[in-house]
Amino acid sequence: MNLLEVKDLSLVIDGKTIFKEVNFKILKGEIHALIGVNGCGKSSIASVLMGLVSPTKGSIFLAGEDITNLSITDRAKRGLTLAWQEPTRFEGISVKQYLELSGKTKDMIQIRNALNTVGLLPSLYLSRKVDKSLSGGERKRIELASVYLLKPKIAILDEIDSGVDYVAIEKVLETIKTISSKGSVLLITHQDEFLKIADVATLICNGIVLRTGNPNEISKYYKYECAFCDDEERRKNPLEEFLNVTG
Amino acid sequence: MSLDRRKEFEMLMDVLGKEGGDSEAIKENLGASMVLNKDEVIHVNSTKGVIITSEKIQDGIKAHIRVVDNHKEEKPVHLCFGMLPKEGRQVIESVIIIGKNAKVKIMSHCIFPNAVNIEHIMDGKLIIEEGGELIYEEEHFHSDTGKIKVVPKFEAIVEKKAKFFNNFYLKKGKVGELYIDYHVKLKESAVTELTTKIYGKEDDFIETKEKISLEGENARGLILGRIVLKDRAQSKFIGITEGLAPNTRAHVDCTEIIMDQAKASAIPEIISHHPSSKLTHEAAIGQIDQKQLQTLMAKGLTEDQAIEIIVNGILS
Repeated sequence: MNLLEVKDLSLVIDGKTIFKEVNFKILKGEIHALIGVNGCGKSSIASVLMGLVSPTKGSIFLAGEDITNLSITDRAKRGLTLAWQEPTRFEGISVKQYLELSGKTKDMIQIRNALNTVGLLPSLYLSRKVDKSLSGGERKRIELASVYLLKPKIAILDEIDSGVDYVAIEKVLETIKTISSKGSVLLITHQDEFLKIADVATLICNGIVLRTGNPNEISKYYKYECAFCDDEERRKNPLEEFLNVTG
Repeated sequence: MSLDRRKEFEMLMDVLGKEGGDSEAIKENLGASMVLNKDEVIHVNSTKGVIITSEKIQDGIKAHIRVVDNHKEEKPVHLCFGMLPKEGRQVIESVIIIGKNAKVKIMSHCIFPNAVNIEHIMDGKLIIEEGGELIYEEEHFHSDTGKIKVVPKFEAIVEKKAKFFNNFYLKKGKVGELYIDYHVKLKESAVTELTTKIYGKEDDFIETKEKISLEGENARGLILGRIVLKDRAQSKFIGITEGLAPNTRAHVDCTEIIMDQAKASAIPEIISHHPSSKLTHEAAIGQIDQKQLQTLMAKGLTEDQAIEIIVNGILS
């Protein structure tokens, strides 16, 4: 069953095409990676899916329901959530409060469990503030704990790996797998370790979907493919073409 | 205590308790305390190390609080300045002296539950002697309607190696008109932090003027303002730091959130008389951060719920 279906989604801002006629589907329990080089439109797709920005064209279906015109809140209530590439900070709100409102639970066992899952010790983090005192990696993991507690149908994780230290990466990968066991995950990433846990990958280049398929296959040469994204012929042997160009 | 005064006392304690204040500590004499209704002292309790006395003046009282040298008061001192009548003027002149190496926390609760037209004026002289420490926390509980004018003013002298932390909170009910005027003079290695958190609504008017004079070497100061305004509320924030001695440091940090037709201004003034004095400021005025709102809405909260959480966080 398709939990999320994106049909002919396009976004044009001030006359500039950010992405065009994007199509992909996410099945229940699937980890679907959205890959591509910086600036190719991945985060913009995430913003449109969550309702932060309205698309110029196209439709989004969540569990068969057209959610294209729903508000952020209504999408979230139906089971869609987004962990930002750079999660914002909140003055005066503790990690405990943040996780309580995220998961709509005050059950301390669940909250502690969520922190442990992402590799943060509850005794050290519950009373800390979700503000500038947290490092980028800590903030990312708290956001992931929040998504874990929400138990969403679809979790959009935008570069959840960036800023997370090498030791914590395993915990983050495990958490993503756990989230996908209860719903599905749209994973925006550059990292090979993260592509390895994906079931399917969609390659985006200059706002256009080049192809959807096996993540291992796609990850091999995608950076070279993106160098020739407007030339279908040269994309057939991207590495060769790339070596020709660079000598 | 006469029957009327007992009744007034109970009513003020009831309001204080409902607003989250520690009314039991006052009722059970668990520490030093004083309760005032308009211009009458209806309860007072001193302890071994904290001596509270008062005298009547026109429209109010003059209160003297003295913490003896080297005394560390374990429990907070509670001052409850209330006005049960709907109208009137209340003047409180206070002289607070914290002895050498003494330490105390004073919680001042200003309660005007029935206010229709009230003026509340506080004029304080504070002296924190060498090595002493004072945490002064003032919280106001106003009615949701009525006209209230509040004028908190003090001048504090913080002697060598002494510390003074002042927190002013007005987050519940209608502010009315508020004119804060604080001046802290810091001697050698003295420290102060002045924190103001206010939520203005409807046609509230807020003016805060806070000044730190760094008179002694190595003195440190911080002015922190957090003001949230909605409807037609207006605010003017003035933070002044004055570096008069070597190796002094001070910072002004003001954030004002405005919604609806509210208006805000922030005016930092930095005066340096010494090249090794480092004075900095930052001020931000704007609407609620859109990314914060969207982050909370992406967890299923409505926009209003998200705003409430963000505002409560800023003012907490």
